[in-house]
Amino acid sequence: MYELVLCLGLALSVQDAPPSATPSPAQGGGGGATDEGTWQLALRVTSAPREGFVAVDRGARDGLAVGDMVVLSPRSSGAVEGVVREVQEDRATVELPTGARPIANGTRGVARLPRGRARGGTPAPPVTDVNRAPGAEQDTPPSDGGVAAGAQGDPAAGREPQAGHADWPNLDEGWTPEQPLLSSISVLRPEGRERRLSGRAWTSFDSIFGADGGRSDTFFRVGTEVIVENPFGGGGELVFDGEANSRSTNYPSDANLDDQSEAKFRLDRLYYEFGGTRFDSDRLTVGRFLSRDLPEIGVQDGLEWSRRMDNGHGFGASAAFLPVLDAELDGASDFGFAGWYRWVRDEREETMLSAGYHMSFHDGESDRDLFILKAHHLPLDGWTLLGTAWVDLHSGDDIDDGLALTEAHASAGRRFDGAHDLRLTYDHREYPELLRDEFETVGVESIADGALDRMGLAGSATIVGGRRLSGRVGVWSDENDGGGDFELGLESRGFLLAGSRLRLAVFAAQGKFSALRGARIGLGRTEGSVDWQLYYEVQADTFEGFDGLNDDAVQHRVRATTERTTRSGWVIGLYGEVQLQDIEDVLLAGFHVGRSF
Amino acid sequence: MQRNRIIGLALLVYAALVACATSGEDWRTIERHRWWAGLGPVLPHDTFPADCALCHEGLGWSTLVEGFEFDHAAEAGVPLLGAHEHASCLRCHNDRGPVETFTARGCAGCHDDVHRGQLGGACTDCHSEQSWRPVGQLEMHRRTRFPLTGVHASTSCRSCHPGSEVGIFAPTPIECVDCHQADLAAATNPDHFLLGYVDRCDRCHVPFIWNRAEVGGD
Repeated sequence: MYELVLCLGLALSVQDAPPSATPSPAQGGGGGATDEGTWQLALRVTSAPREGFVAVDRGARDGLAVGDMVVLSPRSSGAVEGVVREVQEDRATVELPTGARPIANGTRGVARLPRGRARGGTPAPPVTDVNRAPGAEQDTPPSDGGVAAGAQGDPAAGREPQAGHADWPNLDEGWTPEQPLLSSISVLRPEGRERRLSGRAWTSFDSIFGADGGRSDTFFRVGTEVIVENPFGGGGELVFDGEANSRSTNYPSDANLDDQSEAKFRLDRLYYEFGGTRFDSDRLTVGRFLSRDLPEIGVQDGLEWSRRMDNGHGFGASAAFLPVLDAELDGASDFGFAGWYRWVRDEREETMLSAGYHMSFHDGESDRDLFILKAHHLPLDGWTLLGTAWVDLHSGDDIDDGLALTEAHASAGRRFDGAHDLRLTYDHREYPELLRDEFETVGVESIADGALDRMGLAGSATIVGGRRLSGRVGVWSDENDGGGDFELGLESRGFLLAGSRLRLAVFAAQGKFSALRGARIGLGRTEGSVDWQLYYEVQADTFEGFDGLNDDAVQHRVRATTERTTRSGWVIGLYGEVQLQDIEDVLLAGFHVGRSF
Repeated sequence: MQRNRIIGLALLVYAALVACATSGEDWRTIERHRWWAGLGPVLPHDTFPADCALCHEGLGWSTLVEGFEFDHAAEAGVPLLGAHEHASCLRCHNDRGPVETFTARGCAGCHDDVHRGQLGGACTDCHSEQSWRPVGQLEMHRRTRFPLTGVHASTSCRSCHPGSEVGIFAPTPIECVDCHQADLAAATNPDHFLLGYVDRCDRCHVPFIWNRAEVGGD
C-alpha cells in the first residue's frame, strides 16, 4: 500500500513539472552552470532608479562586476539583455537597451559570469546539479539578509556538503537553523527605496461669540506636515511640520480693553534624520525636532545622535537650542546638552527602563540640571505600566537645595478579555525654578511650596445587551486644598437605529474655587462615511469663595457635530455649540478640513 | 509631610501593581524575531500570493495596483481606525523596527509626543483618530483643580495655557490674577490697586460675565 501511494505521488509530480527540463532563472538557485566557461547568477529587479536602468538585488559580493551581461525575463515580453554599469556590495545597476520597455519590479533574470569569478571574487565552485527538480529551490536569499534559500545549506551551520557538490557559495548572514528555509521576497534597504512623499494638510476655523455684544474670538489655522522619505538617496527622512494662523479678539465697548489681532507662522518641526534603522544602528537628527527617546525635553533646534545596540539597549546625546514652548516657538536664549541610556529586557522592548540627564543654560547662565527617569512594561494584552519622573538637582542660589521630584506621571492599566478595563493614574507636579521663560510667572512662594498630586481610577465594563458602563473617580491635593471628581456613564449602541450610540452620564467635581454637579446625554450615529453627534449637558455650579448670595448658577450646553471622511483621505467636520450661562450666552462654531496623502 | 505620605502611598501602590503585573506570564507577548538582523521585508509577506503583480505595479514596490484593498483586521488581527485606515503601509511598517514593538507603545510608538510625556499615553482620551482634533476638553478639565465654569468654558485655551498651540498645558498657575493681570490693571472703577483689591477676586466676581463684576454681599 505504501509503495502504491509513493508511485502515485511520483507520477503526479512528473505531471506537474514544466515541459522544459532546463531550469529557468526563476527555478535556478544562486548559481547554475551553463557551459564550461560561464555560470548563471539568478537575480531580481528591485527598482528602476532612472529611465533606461534597473537595479538588481545582486552585487559585488555575489560576483557581479561592471560590464557583465544580464538577461531579464519580463512576463509581458521576451528576454531583455542589459549590461551592468554600477556595482555596489549588495546591488547593481543595469543599463537596458535603448527603447526597452519598462521592467517591472520582481522581474527575474540571470547574469552570466565567468567561472573564474564568484561571490566576493573567489573562484566559483563547480555546480553539477543542473537538472534538479523544478521547485526544489526558490530564489537565493536577498543579499541584505533574507532567509536562506531552498536546499542551499549554510556552511556556517556546519552542514556537510552533499555528494556531487562542492561547498555552497552562498553565505547567508544571520541565518540560523530555526528560521524558515524559503524566502520569496527581496528586502529593500532604505537607500534603495523610491523617494516618497506623505503627510497631511489641514485648515480649521474656530469662533466664540458672546451674545449681546460680548467678547468674541476667532482663530483660523492652516498647516501641513510633510514627510519625504529617501529625499537624497541616502535612505534618510526629511520632515516639515508648520502652520500659519490668525487670531483676533474683540472686547465689548465697556471693557476698557483694546481689540487684538495677530497673524503668524510657526515652524513646529523641520529636520533631516538618517540611520536608526535595522541596517544602521546609529541615528543622527539635525534641525528642529522632538527627541524620540527623550521628548520630555521638548522641541529642540540642533542635533541628536543615538545608537541602538544588538540587544536592544540604546544610548544617545543631543546638543540644541530650546525654543520657548509657546505659540511662537521662538527664542535662542536657552541651550542644553542631554544624554541618556535605555535598558530593555530583550529585543521585544516590552520592558524598558531609561535614564536621561539634561543640562540647560539661559543666556549663558546655568539654569537647570534635570534627571529624567522612565519605565514601561507593555505586553500586547493585559497590563500597561508607564512611568516618568522629572528630578531637578538644585544648587547655588536656588530656593531649594538638593534633589527634588518636580514632576511625575504614572499609569497602570489592565484589560480583561477585551471587554473590561481598569486604569489607575497618578500625577505629581511642582513649579520648577527656572530662568527660562517656560510658563506664566509664579511667585517665590509657589515655587517653594506649590505642589499638586492627583490620583484617578477609571474603568469600563461591558454589561448585558452590549451596553457599556464606565466610571471614574479622582482625588487631588495641593499645598492648601483638596478635591476630586466623579463620573458614571452608560453607553448603548444600536439604540433605535443601526450604528447609533446613546450615552448617558452623571458627574460631579470639587475644584479649588467651585463645586459642580451635572448630567449629560449624547446621541450619535455613524452611517457610512458620515458621523454626527448631538449632545446636551446641564451643570450646576457653586462658587465657594463668593461672599454674596448669588453663589450658585446653572448652565446648559447644547452641541452638534458632524464629520465626513472619504476614501481618498479627506476629512471634513463642522460643529456648533450654544452655552446658556447664568448671565451671558455664548455661541461657538467652527469647521475643519484635512487631507492625508 | 502630607505630600510625602501621598507620594509614598502612590509609589507603594505602583510597586504592588508592577509586582503583580510582572509576576505571571499569562499575557500575550510581542513576537520575538530576528527582524533587527535585517531579515524579511518590512511588511510580512509570508501569507501573500506569490504573484507580485496582484498587488504591485509600476517601477517601484511602493506603487499598488488601482483598487488595492487589504483587510487589515482580518489579515493581521489589528483593525485600522480613523485616519490609519488610509495611511500608507510604510508609515508603520518601515525600517525603524518591528511594527509589533512600536504598536505596543500605543500612539507614542509612531507619533511624536508633543506633550513632553506630561499627559500620559492615552491619547484617544482627548484626540479623535480621524482628524486628531482634541475633543472633550471641558470634561477632561473637571479632573483638575479648575473645572471650567461660566465664561471659562468658552475661552480659548491659549488665554490660560500659552503653550497650548504646541501641546503644552502644564504647569499652569490657577490664581485669578495669573491670567487676569490685564483686567486687574484696567479695573479703575473702583480703582482696584488703590483699594488693595489685588487677590481673592472670587469674593466679588463670579465667572459668568466677561468684564463686569457681580459684587458680593460684603
